[in-house]
Amino acid sequence: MSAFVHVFVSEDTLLRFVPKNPLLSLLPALGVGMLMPVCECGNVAVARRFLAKGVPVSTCITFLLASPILNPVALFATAIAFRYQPEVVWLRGGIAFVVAASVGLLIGHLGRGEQLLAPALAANRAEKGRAREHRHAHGHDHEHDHGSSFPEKLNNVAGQAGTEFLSMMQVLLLGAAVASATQVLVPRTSITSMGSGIVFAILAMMSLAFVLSICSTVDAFFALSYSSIFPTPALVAFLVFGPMLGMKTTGLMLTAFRPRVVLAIGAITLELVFLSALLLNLRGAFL
Amino acid sequence: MTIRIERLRLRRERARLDIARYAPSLLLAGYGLFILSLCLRGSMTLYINPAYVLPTTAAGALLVLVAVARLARNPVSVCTHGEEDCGCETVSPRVWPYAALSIPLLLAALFPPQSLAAFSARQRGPQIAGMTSIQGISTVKRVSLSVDTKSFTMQDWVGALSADPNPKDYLGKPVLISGLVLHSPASMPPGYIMVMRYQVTCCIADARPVGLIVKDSSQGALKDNQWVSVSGVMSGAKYQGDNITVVTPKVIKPIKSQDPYMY
Repeated sequence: MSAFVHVFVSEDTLLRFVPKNPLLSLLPALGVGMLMPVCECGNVAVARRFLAKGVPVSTCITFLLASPILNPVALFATAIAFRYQPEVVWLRGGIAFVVAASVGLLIGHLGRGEQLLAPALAANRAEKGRAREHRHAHGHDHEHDHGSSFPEKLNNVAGQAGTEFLSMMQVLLLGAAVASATQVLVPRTSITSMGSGIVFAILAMMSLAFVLSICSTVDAFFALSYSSIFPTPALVAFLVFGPMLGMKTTGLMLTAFRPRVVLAIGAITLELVFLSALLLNLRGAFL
Repeated sequence: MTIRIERLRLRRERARLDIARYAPSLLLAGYGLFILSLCLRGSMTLYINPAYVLPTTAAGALLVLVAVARLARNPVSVCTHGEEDCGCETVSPRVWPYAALSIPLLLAALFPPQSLAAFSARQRGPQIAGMTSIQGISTVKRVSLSVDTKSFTMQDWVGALSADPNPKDYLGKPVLISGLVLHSPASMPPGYIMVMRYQVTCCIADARPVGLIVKDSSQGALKDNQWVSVSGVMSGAKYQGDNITVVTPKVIKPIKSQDPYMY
C-alpha cells in the first residue's frame, strides 16, 4: 500500500486533499482510516509515506492511531464478537475517534513538522518539500521521477515494497520477539490479577493489550473471553488502547518519530483512554 | 605494502556492497519460500487460522516474485545518506540489518513448528467452561438442551456453558469429548483435571486454553499433555462456594495426539 502511494500518488495530489486548518486536516486521516482495512502493523508504513510526502504530523498521528480501530474489518469483528452488547462497537469507535484526534492535535502543537520526525524521515521530508517548492516556483505542475510507463511503475512498486518490507521487518521482528517472550515467560494472571476495583481492572486490561499486541481485527474475540472477569469499561479500554499502542508497534513508531514524540504519544493516549474508561464506568454507575 | 592494503580494503568494501545489493532480494525470497514451505508441509495451521492460509500463501508467493523482480532489475544502487532507514528507494550499505533479519529464518529451520501444549495453557491461564459466573446472572438466557449432546464438540460445550453457566441445565447430559490433559490445582477442585484445547481466532498469539473439568478417575495416572477421549455425563460440584459444572467420566481413554486448535 505504502509503495503504491509512493509510486502512483504525487505529493501535490495527496496534499490537495489535506485542508490547511489543523482541525479539518484530521478529517482525511479519519476518512482514510475508515476506508483502509489495515491493522496496526501495516499502517505505520503508510503513515511514514504520508509523512515523507509532507502530510501534517497531526494528520498522520490521527491516522496512525485511528485506522486500526475505525476500519470496517475491525468494527465488523467487534460487532460480531459483542453481538449481545452492541454498544461496545460505538463506544470503541467513538472513544478511538476522540482519542486519536486529540492526540494528533496535541502532538501537532509540540513542534513543527521535521522537529517531531525521526532524523532520516525528517531529512527525506525536507528534501521533498524543497523539490516541491522548486517545482512550484518554476511552474511545473507535477513531478515525474518514478518512470512513466505502467509496467515500469509496477516494477518500481515491487522494488519499493521489498525495501520497505525489510526495513519494517527489522523493527517488527524485535517487537514481536519481545511480545512473544513476554507471552511465554510472564504468567497472564500476574497482569489480570493486579488488584480489585475499576481502576485496577482498566489498568490490567490496558497492560494486557500492550503486552499481547493482538491484531485489531480479532482482539474483540479475545476481549470477549474476559467479559466474565472484567467490566465493560475495562474491555473497551483494552479494545481502544491495544491497537494504538502495543509492544509490537512501539518500535515501528520509532522509525517515524523521535523517541520523545513516541513517549508523548504513549503518555497522552494512555491517559485519555484511561480517563475515557473511567468516565464510561461513572456513566454506567449513574444510569 | 600500502597499495596491497588499499586493494584489500577496496575488495572488502566491494564484498560489503555486494552483500548489501543482493541480501534484500535473498531475504525476501527466503521469507517467501519459508511461507510457501509451511503451506506445502501443511504446518501453517500450527501458527494461523486455516481461513488465512490462502492469503498468507499468496503473500509468500508475492515476496518471491518481488525478490525475482528485484534481482532481474539492474543492480540496485546503495544508499549514501548514512542514516539507517532513510526511506529512499536504495538499499542500506550496512550488513548487520540483513544478518538480524536472517535470524528468524535460521530459527525456523532449526526448530520445526510445534503446537501449543499444557505449558502455554498454564502461562495463559486456563479458561474453564462451567466455572464462569457471568455478571447479572439472572439476565442470562437459559439454554434448553433438547438436542443430543453426544454430538457436542468441545467448542459446542464451551459455547453453551459460556452462554448459560447454570449447572442445573446440564445435569445428566451425555458428554463425548477429546483434548489435552492439564493439571491446574490453582484453578479447580482437587481430584479433577482439565481436558482442554485452544480456541484460536486469528493466530496462536490470541490462542486461549479452554476446556471442561473432568473428575480424574485415573488416580493421577494421566499426565499433562496426554491426549484423552472422555465419555461420561455432566454433573455438578462445589468449588469455593460456587456451583460448577463438571464431567463425571464413564471412560477416559488415552488417544493419539490431534490438532489442539479450534477456530
